[in-house]
Order: sequence, then C-alpha cells, then structure tokens
Amino acid sequence: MFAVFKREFLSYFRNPVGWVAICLMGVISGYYFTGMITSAFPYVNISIEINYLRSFFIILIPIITMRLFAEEKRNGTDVLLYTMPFSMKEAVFGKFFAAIALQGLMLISVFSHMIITVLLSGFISTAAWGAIIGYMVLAALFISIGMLTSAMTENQIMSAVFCFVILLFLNMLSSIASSVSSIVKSFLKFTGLFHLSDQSIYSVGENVKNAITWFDPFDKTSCYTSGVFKIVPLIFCLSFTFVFIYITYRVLEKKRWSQS
Amino acid sequence: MIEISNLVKFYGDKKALGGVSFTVEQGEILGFLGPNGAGKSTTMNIITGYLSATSGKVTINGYDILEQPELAKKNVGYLPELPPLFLDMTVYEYLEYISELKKVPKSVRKKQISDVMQMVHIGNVSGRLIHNLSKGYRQRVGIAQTLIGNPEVIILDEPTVGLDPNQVIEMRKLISNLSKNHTIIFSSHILSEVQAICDRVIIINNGKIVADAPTIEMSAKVEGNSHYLLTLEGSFNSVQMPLRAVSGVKAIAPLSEKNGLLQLDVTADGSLDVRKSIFFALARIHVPILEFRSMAPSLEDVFMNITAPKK
Repeated sequence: MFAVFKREFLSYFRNPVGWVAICLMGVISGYYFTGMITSAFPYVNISIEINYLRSFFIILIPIITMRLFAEEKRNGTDVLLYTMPFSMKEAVFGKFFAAIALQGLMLISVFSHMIITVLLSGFISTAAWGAIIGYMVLAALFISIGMLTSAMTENQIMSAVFCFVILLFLNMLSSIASSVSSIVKSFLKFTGLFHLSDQSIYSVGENVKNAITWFDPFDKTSCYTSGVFKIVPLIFCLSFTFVFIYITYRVLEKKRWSQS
Repeated sequence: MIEISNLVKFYGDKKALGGVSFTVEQGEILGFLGPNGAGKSTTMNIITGYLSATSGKVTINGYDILEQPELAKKNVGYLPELPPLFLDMTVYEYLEYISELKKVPKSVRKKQISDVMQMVHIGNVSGRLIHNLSKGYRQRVGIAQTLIGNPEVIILDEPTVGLDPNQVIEMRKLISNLSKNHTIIFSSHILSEVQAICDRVIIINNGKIVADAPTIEMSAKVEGNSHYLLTLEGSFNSVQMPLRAVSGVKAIAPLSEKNGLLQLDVTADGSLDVRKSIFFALARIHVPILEFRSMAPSLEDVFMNITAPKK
C-alpha cells in the first residue's frame, strides 16, 4: 500500500495539480485571513476561515481525485494494479490516503495563519482544532466520492464533472430539502389527501425536510466550527467514506469480469 | 509451470475463448500465434490475472490464479501490448516503484534493478523521463519491468509490434537470452518471429486452439505438396510438356514471362524430391535454369492453411 501511496502522492507534484491546489488554497485562505485580521482584529477566528475553505471542496476535490484511477486506465498502467502480487484493496487505500495527504498539505497556509494569530494575540481557540477535524473528515468523504467517480470512467474530465455534480448536489441539499418540504406541504394541502389538519401538514413537511437534511454532510459537520465536538458527524462521515471506498474496490474488481 | 484448462471467456454475448487448454513446461519458450482478435491477448490477460475467465482454471507453479492470486502472480512477469509505463517517472524511479509493488526485499532492490537494466541495456537512460524515450527503449523498459522480482514465467504480448527492424532483431535476441532462465510465453502474429525464437507453437483462431506442436514439427503439418520457384530462359510453351512429364510434378503455373525470362511455380508431391528430375528434364531441351528455389512449407503456410476460413 505504501508504494502506491508514495507514487500517487509524489505524482501530484510531478504535474501541476498538487502545486496548483496548494497555491489556490493559499490564495483563498490568505485573502480571507487578511480580511479578517484587518477588519475584525482581535476577534480572529481561524475556525470560520476553515469553514469558509470547505465551500471550495466542490471545485478542489474533483480536481485532485479525477486522475486517481481514470488516468491509469487510459494509459494502460492499471494492468500493474491487477497483475502485481498484491491486493486491489491496497491500491485503493494507497490512492485514497495520497489524496488525503495532499488535502492535509493544503492546510499549510491555515497553519501559518494559526501561528500568526498566536503571535499576535497570544492564544488560539481550541475550536480551530475541531474545525480541522471537521474539515478533514468532510474531505475524506468527498475524496472517497471522487475516487469512486474516477474508478468508474476512463476520462478524467468526465470523472471530475461527475464528482462536481455530486458534491454540488450535496452542497445544495439544505435548499433542496426546503423545496421538497414545501412541495409536499402544498401537495397535501391542495389535494386534501389523508384529511390532515394544517398543523400535521406542517409537521409532515418539517419531518421530510429534516430527513433530507440529515444527509447533508456540510450541515452535519458544521458543529465543529462552533467548537462543539460531536461524535455522530464523525461516524457519519467516516462510515460513508468506507462505503464509497468499498464500492470503488468492487467497481475495480468487477472490471476483471465484465471488461471488453 | 503453467497449466491452463478449459478456459472460456465471454464478453457479453460474444465468445472470445471457447475452451482453451494447454500446459507450458518449465524453461520452455512458447509462441502464441493467431490473427488479430483470435483470443491471444485475452488468454494472456487471464493467465496474468488481469481478467477473469467465465469458466476454466489457471494454475501457475501449482497456485490457482483466483484462489491464491498473490502467490501465483509472484511467479509471473507480464508485458501487455501497451507497456504499462508512467510517462512522468524516470526509468529508475519506475523500476523502483515496480519492485516495491512486487515486494522485492529492500536489501536486494538496488542490485536487482541495476542487473535488470544491464540485461536489457537501458543503463544509459536510467535517469531520463520515460516520456522522452523512443518506442524501442520504452519497450525495453517494459521488459525490464517484467524481470523485476525475478519471476519464473514471463509473458510478452506482441513485444515487437511497432519496432523498427533493428529493434526487432535486438528484441528477439533479448528474448532468446531470457529463455535461459525463464519460461516464456510470447504472442505474435509475425510467423517468422515465432519460428526463429520458440520451441513450441500454439496457433489459436476464433478462441480455439487449432494447432499445438513443436516448431520443427509444425512445418511438417502442412499436408501434401511442396513448391519450387524457377526462373528459366525460355518460353512457357516450350517447357510445359517436358516438366509435366516429370513424375511427381502436379502443377505448373507461370508467374511472369518477359524479356525471354520465365518464372514458374512448380507444385510437386511433398513425398518425392523432384529437383534432380526437373534439372535433367530442362537440360535435355537446353533450357538454362537461372534460379531454382525450394519453397519449403513455412509456418506461414501452416498458419494460412489452418486459420483460413474453410471454403
């Protein structure tokens, strides 16, 4: 597994992707931090900065995950993964952790901001560490989604677009939930189905909304930003991450049987 | 040793392999021959574990490729038709990565890589990006990759395709050298190549083995006739009768006739040597022979004979 991890991680820096991702993160976070430090000092809150950075996941994650398997398939190097004396699981985990490591490295600018904050105000809120945990588990979840889309196609661009659409959908899940809930409410009201009272219609709508929002990973992990440490979001993200990693593994194994 | 029994592979509804079985003994060079789309690559992909067969069994040194894949794959080096190269790595980095994948112990890694590079003559490009290498060098890096970890069995899928004639000769030499220490399966649709390198030939067509014999015996498999090519000074009309009278000659076909030179294709009974009689028959009518070539049945003929659709 380490061999695949090493190759994959280093290959981010053999081509522009790794450098671009780190620089982009540096510019975005630097811009935000500068704004914060010039307008709101001494109320500098690193966790809000990290929270802000998460909204760029929907662009950054597809870029760093698109080549993981798609490129190997296009260049024919995936033969190595299938014919070498090791299990496909090792390859999947190696690639996954390489992307995670890059994602972690992208936080380097944030760490520099933490140091500056400590130097200027003498302390740093512990919420920042919570925010970093929230950031990383969310990144893990999205990387596993990106890796899956990369395993399903031979075309990097297709993979990136798929991944982007999925992440965009997840990003919009809260507003989707509201719309679905109001649609359900108006439907029940105008059709008079089940003869519900206004109050029950309202609570049905709210329940529908809550059920959908429950799956919103952004919403779920936002508690970490405010310094609240909950275990459920952690389990939520990690278990879904494992599910997607497992599906990736199955997709790759299936190729042995169905490829033409 | 590789044992393959009754491999069947379907791609959707299309049958790519219909019950292929053969055994390769240790130290053998097996040529795998067939027209494009016959199932060569599919068979090789199944042997190496890249694809799974719909049914059938592959064992390598007693290890089943599906049940004990890691032990089985340890014994196999595979070069697919498209060499699996990372263009963004240098040759050395690439071979290092391969030896990590093959779990070569760290202590011998360096030595093994340099031995392999020496063997395939790529030592002088070890620091160059694979992207910048010529096709011949890339192919050699591909072969180097199969040798890492010192596997017993080496499987090469059309290793000479796309190389220039010098490179082809060098590649053949390399393969012959490798055969001293390895069992080799080697596919090609170039017949002379297989004839030159291999101990044994398997011809596959439409997913079925149509011939399996030592290279020497393969030529004898062509039934019946032998062919001779003659260039004479004379006309077809004047030589036709005397040649037909020679016992054993079955047919004469003029290939070309110009400037008083006549080229003939003589078909004769394969069991008789008609060369002397032809010579004397032509000498008697004072027709000089300028060229006399015996077209021994080549693998080409065997191949055409076997794989051509039956009329």
